[in-house]
Parts: sequence; C-alpha cells; structure tokens
Amino acid sequence: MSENAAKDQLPGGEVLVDFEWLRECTDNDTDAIKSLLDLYFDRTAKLLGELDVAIASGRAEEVRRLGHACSGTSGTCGMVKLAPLFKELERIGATGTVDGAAAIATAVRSEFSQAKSFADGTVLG
Amino acid sequence: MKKILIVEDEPVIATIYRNKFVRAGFAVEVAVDGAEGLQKIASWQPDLVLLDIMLPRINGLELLRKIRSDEATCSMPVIVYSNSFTATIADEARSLGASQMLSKSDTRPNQVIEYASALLELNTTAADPQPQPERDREICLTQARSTVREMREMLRACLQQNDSAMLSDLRQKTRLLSTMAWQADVHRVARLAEGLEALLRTLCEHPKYITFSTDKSILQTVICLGELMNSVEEASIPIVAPSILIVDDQEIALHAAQFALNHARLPSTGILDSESAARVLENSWFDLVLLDIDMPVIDGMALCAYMRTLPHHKDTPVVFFSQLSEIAHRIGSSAAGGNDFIGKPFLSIELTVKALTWIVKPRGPVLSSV
Repeated sequence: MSENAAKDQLPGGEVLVDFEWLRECTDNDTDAIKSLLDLYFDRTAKLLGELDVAIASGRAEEVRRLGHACSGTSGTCGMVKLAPLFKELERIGATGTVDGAAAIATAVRSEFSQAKSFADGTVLG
Repeated sequence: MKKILIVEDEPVIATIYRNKFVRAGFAVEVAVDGAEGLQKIASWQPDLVLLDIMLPRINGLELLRKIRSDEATCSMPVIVYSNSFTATIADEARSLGASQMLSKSDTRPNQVIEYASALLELNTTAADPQPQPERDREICLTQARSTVREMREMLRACLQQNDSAMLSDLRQKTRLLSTMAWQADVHRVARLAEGLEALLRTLCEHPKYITFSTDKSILQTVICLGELMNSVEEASIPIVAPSILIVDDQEIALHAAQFALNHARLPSTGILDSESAARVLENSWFDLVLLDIDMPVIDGMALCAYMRTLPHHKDTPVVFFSQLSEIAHRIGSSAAGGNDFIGKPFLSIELTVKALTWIVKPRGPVLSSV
C-alpha cells in the first residue's frame, strides 16, 4: 500500500473520502483539493438543512432534487459513503413520498460529520 | 566532439533525435530503456543526456535520481522531455535536478539542439548543414498513420476481450502518436493524443475508475484521431483559445469542470442557471457547450433544443453531463440535439479529453450518444 493510500484510510481500512480520485481530478494540487472540499462541506451543510425541512414537510420532489444535487457533488468530491446515501434519497423522492427518508437523512448526517472530521484531520487540518 | 546519450524507448523518436544531433555535429548513442541508459552513462560517459520519462525497466525519474546521486555524474546536464499533461511528473523531474524540462508540445527537435548546445556552452545552433525537415515530417506522418491504425485494432481487441491490461499497450502507442504528431507539426492530433495518454495513464494506475463512459470516451477519441490523420492539413492548425460554455446549477460540479478544463489550457465560461445561459447563447458563439441535464426551470435537454433553433448554434457540439446515466436519458439527449454524453462523476482528464475531441473533431453529422 502506498504512503498516500495508507493516509487516506481509517485505521480499519475504511475509506470515507476517495483522495486518490481528488488527486487525479486536481493533478495532485493540494490547494485545489482544499478549495473543492471547503466548498463541498460548506454547500452541503446548507443543503442538509434544506433537506431536513423538505422531509419534515413531506415535499418529495424537493427531497428528490436535493438528493440528486448532493449525490452529484458528493461523487465529484470523492465522498464514497455519502454519494450512495444521497442517491437513495433521490430515489425515495422520485417515488412521490418521503417514506424512509428521515432515517437515511440521519445516516447522511453521521457520515457527513465523519467525512468532515476525516478531511479536517488530513488536508483541511 | 561532444557526446549525447538519448534514452528513449521509441525507436522512431530516437532515430529522429539521433539524426538531428549527428547532423549538428554531436556524437550520439541511444539507450532503449533506463537500465541500458544507466549502463551507457557509466561506460560511454556522455556530456549530456536527453531523457524521456516513461521508460521500461528503470523509468526516467528513477534514472535521473541515480544520475544525481552518483558523484561522477551528479553535475551532468540532463534534458528531460515530457508530456505537458503530466505536470506532477514534470515537477518531480525538476525537483530531482533536471537541467532543463522541455514539453513535447512546445519544443521542436532544433530547439532541443539549441538547449543542449546552451547547456554544453557550444555554439552549434547554426549547424544542421543538411536539413531534411520534409523527409523527417514524412517519416513522422507515416509512423503516426500506422500508429493510429494499430490503436484502433488494439482498442477493438481491448473492448471485445474486456481486458483492461491492454490499456497499457494502448497508452504506449498513444504516447508514440503524440510524439510523432508533434514532430510533424500536426498540432491537433498531438494535443489530443497527449490528453488521451494522460487519461490512459490514470486508468492504468486506477482501473477502478474505468466505466462505460471512459470506454466510450477512449473509443471516440481514437476514432477522432483517425479522422484527423486523414486530414492532416486541417489537423495542423493549432488550437487557439477555444470558447467553451459550461452550464450546471451545481456550483461544485461547475467549479470542478472549469478547474479541469483550465488546467488543460481550455478556459471556459461557467453559468449556474439555464435561463441566463439561454440569453448568453443568443448573443455569443461557442466552440463547445457542456450542459448538465437536471437543472431547474429549463433543463439541459430543453436548453439544447432551444440552442438548435439559433442559427449560429445549429452545429455547435453539445456534450451533456449528468449522473442520469440511464439509457433513456442518453436517447433523450440525442433527440434534443446533443452530440455526446459524459457520466458524473467524471475524471477531470476524461472531461478534458472529451472537450478536446469535440473541439478538434472535423465537423460531421451528430453522433448517437447511446
């Protein structure tokens, strides 16, 4: 395992943020990675607030739209755990209901917090 | 007579440089890989080394490290010539002590001789008493054409057998094509091949990023390279400041796309909302438009359909990018007048290659994106 790959994982080998992907996308430019992640965590935190409101008020189309937006940006930023969760929210919203969305949103918040801590401890720290 | 060692694994490239240096009055030896290079540096003791980076056995960076760590050769001038898409490798070569970094995209063989002469404090820039530029160009063009044919065959086999290991061979061929095209001044082929090589390098190093989208991008690029080699005159026109519009309501995706293109010297205009984009399209001309599909108010497909009603955008290439990678959307994007499709998330180098392909592509009918 390369030095970089080792640093990119949690002690158990779990990958929260695909830094290999980020390095490829920025030609290994640390400043560009920081800038992208700063933007991601800032924007996504705001969208999570909107997501909670949309779920609480039963607005399925809004849940779909927010899930779609966050899934795309999570993929772009190498958030390997978060992207599929947002994708699931998009799928739920597309069915016209918000059934099960609250539980997924809780999981999203937990993963988001872990990913942010992990990023803070590596490139953003 | 000063001695030049060329460390280059592609015999055609090595021959061109060897002939140039010999005509300029140098003694020349060629090593076909890093290990042979190391051995010849010790036994032949050249005055200067012209070093390719991507070499078998011992790569150029490792060889440079060995040269600099040996007391006998630590101050030997070493010119490293590289591909401009591999900026990190170039940076590493610089930090290892390359005397001169030359980009294949910006340097002709005569300039290499000038740099070598300067490093050796010689005045041989007026040399080359028997210039043979036309003959050299013909050799390069012939080699480039046959290389593109070989690439198509390799890619066909690679896709049929679903063998990602063959991408490495394809990458080697692409690198050869890029160099031949630069030598022959077929700028568009050279730049596109350079980008494709960088994409193939990434996929060889990280096979997990191989997707249907990357396969399709590689295939289209190889086809485009073949088309360009059939119209060498057009393909020799340098790419000058293409205008690219990107429309995506997701700020991060837009930021990433603009960063990727800008990094490849393809500046772009980014717009976050499709209504503003429609107004800009009414009044501006673009070489390429990249559209997200799922956007509020006017979605990407509707915007594309509107573009097609504007006479100056009837034939402008449109590439959709979206995470909506289902087949239905691909059909929909073609029906709306789109030319191509790239799946999100995309590698920045894939987007670059995709953009370059559509910028340099000889204009023809709309391709199906399915």
